[in-house]
Amino acid sequence: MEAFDLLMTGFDTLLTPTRIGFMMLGIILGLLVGVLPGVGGTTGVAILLPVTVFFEPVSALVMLAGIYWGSMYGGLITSILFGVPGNPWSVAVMFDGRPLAKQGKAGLAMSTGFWVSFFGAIIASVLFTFFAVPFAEMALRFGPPEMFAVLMIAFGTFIGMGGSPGKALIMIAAGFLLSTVGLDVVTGQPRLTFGTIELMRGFHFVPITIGLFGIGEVLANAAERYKVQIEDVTRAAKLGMHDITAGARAVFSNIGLASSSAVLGFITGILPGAGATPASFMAYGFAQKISKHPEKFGKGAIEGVIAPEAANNAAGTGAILPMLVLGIPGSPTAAILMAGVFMWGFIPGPRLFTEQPEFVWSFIASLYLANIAALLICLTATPLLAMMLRTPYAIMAPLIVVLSLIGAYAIQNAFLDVWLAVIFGVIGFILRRMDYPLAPLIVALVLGFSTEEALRQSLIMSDGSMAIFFQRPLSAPIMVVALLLFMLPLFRMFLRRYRRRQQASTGE
Amino acid sequence: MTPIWMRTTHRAVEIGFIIVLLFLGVVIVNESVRLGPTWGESGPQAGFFLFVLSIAMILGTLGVAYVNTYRTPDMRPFFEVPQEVEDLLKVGLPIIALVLLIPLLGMYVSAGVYLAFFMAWYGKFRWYSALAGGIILPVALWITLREGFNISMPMSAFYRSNILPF
Repeated sequence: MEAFDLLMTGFDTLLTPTRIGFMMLGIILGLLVGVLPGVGGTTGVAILLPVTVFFEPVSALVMLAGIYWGSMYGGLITSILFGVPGNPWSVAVMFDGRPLAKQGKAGLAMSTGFWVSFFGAIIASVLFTFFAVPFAEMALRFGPPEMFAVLMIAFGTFIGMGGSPGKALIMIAAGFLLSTVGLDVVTGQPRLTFGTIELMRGFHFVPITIGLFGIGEVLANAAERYKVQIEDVTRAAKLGMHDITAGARAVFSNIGLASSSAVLGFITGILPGAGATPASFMAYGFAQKISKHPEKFGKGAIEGVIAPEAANNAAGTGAILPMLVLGIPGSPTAAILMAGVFMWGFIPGPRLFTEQPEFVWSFIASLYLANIAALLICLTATPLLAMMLRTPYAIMAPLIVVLSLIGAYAIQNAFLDVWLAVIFGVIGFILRRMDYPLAPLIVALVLGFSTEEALRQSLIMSDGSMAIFFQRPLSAPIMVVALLLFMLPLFRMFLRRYRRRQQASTGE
Repeated sequence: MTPIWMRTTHRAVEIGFIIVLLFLGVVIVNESVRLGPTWGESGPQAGFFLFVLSIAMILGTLGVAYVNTYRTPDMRPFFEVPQEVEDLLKVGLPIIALVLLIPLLGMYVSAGVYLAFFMAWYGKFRWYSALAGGIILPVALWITLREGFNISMPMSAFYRSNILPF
């Protein structure tokens, strides 16, 4: 019951008008960026991060986290109504949400989505509350080799899970390399600066993130404008009392699926490097596999809305856990939040729980309150949110651009960062077009310093032998799992070849 | 005759990207060798991490090069219709112009000019709507950033000669 007492302290700290105010502001902003195509939750958090440097830390964290939760809810509105996912993690809900909307059941699909998002997030928050302390206690026993092994799991996940492994590897290496520009912390030598003084302080990851996600998405949307025809279905966005109760009933009659998707999502979220997007796809596949009528999926099965939404909200919550406990974010958004924690003067890691219990526990308390608030806003104000979509493109796009540039500049008051954001915007556009994953780049950029530090310290401990990672009781199993993740694409390739050969020999 | 940017395939862009990456890889290997890629007196030298990473990047690039340009090349055009290039330039070039304006006009005035221009030119708004947008945006930003959070932004020449507060 220790966790319960700590949670109560958290509520005490959180319940001041300013903090609740900032939390609500964050949620509303998050709902807006979730609804608007072209700005995702990641962009929203990155753009507003520089502003929060001047806030008191608890308000800053609950506001930024509020943007994240809000965008989780908001994303499903556009997915269902327009088939335009506002976030990558709202793609899976589109498969069945969009057909439901076409059958005139948009209200039911949305209210089910909101209810189940809430349900998933609350399950994850409870798990978070009770797992946080044991996790932190375990993490306290981690030395540099264990840290390095866990970091390798994060990057192994990027390589092992979907997409082209070569492209993921390139993006990880590029992120790490960008993070090494500047002075080497151990020896003080300038690295990759090529004699310029501007590069000595290195690249801050905020302008790069803003460029890749903010400007990059503006450019990507500009090029795709010719095919997106947003019809005016704002009238369909009305949620009646009937829809709200029907949605709650739909979740209740699928409570088993919702709970298992939430737990699946939470576990995927904790895995460093996985995050909400793969969780939503996994839950969708899982729901289809256990369904009694799998043929209805993709044609408007309500389970197809329930599973991915429960999973992605749970995963979003889960992704914060390794960020706070280990300093290893589970998703790009968590990575940006972690940078915020640094900027507000704290060091993420197990000691945060003993040294700053108020900060940590008021954040955990905010998980509960933020989700209740987000649910209430969604159930009552969806028509209002959908109306935001009527904002003309010629106003929306410049606003995003201006806010992006302001965010890029504000982080270190450097004009070079504004150019950096624009350059990475162009790079982000090209990478997106060529299916290079952007998440590994951001996570590697944020984690570059700690990864190099962990690797160097481990090697100093072992006098240069890589065997240290496999000799310690804690790091050995973690490292083996990480290596397996890295090898996964190779296994898959051999399996495919083997099957093809079998087919070739039996097919004649 | 179709212009060159309409004939560019995904594969061609990929090849260009791979060449850039390989070039960067060589530059970084070179830098890591300068910094020392091996074991120093008391631990790994400054170039060790760089060396490992540049090798990883080069290996990844070669893998992608093999799969995407030789095994299963993607011959779809990079841009499908001319409209894409046009929209991209219409949105992209004003952004560059905005960044070029900032040192001269400061963040606030440039943002206003940019919004007004984009509204009138791309959005076909009437001139007074565009003008209103161009005035409301900098004032609102200034109130939030300067007065609200005390965040400093690049100021304009008007600020230096005391004509405008930003």
